Amino acid sequence: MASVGSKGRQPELMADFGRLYGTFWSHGVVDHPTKEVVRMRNARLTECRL
Amino acid sequence: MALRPELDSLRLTLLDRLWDERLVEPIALELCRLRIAMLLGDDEAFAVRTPHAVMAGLDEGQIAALTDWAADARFTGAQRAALGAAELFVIDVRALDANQPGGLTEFFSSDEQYALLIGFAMFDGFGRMRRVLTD
Repeated sequence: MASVGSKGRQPELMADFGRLYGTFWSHGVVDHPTKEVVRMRNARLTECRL
Repeated sequence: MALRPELDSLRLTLLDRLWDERLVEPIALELCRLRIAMLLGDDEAFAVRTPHAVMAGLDEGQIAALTDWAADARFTGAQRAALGAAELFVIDVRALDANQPGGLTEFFSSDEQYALLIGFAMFDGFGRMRRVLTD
């Protein structure tokens, strides 16, 4: 997909998303390595470079 | 989400901002939310109508015609662009090109496109989770 570019876009919305994502990532019962493997697999399937 | 109430609270904060601050036109956003729910088989989400969109004049006739959005004259160009992007976001995100003719860039500012895409991510991600956890 052509990049819309997130820098400076909707900063408050992005902050909300960051808090949600950060809480998901830093808490919970699934260990970090498992989360990371799933994240990387998903990124490869969707060709996400992040 | 009952197992992670802190996540649900943050999810609702984000969605409240998306709707309350009208970061993107609410009827187009609602049609996309409903189309994503339809694609995921998320009956619970599809049964809901977001009040902001209802107050803006959401038409149940459009919802009934949602599978035919590309040809039905009731849909505006902006709604078609948003719905086309929403479908590709769910089905094949690699094929989504905001700059194609009739695409998002033609009808939405960069800020609006960003709000739409965050909305798609929330509707799709949590819709999939709800679908798996409630089946």
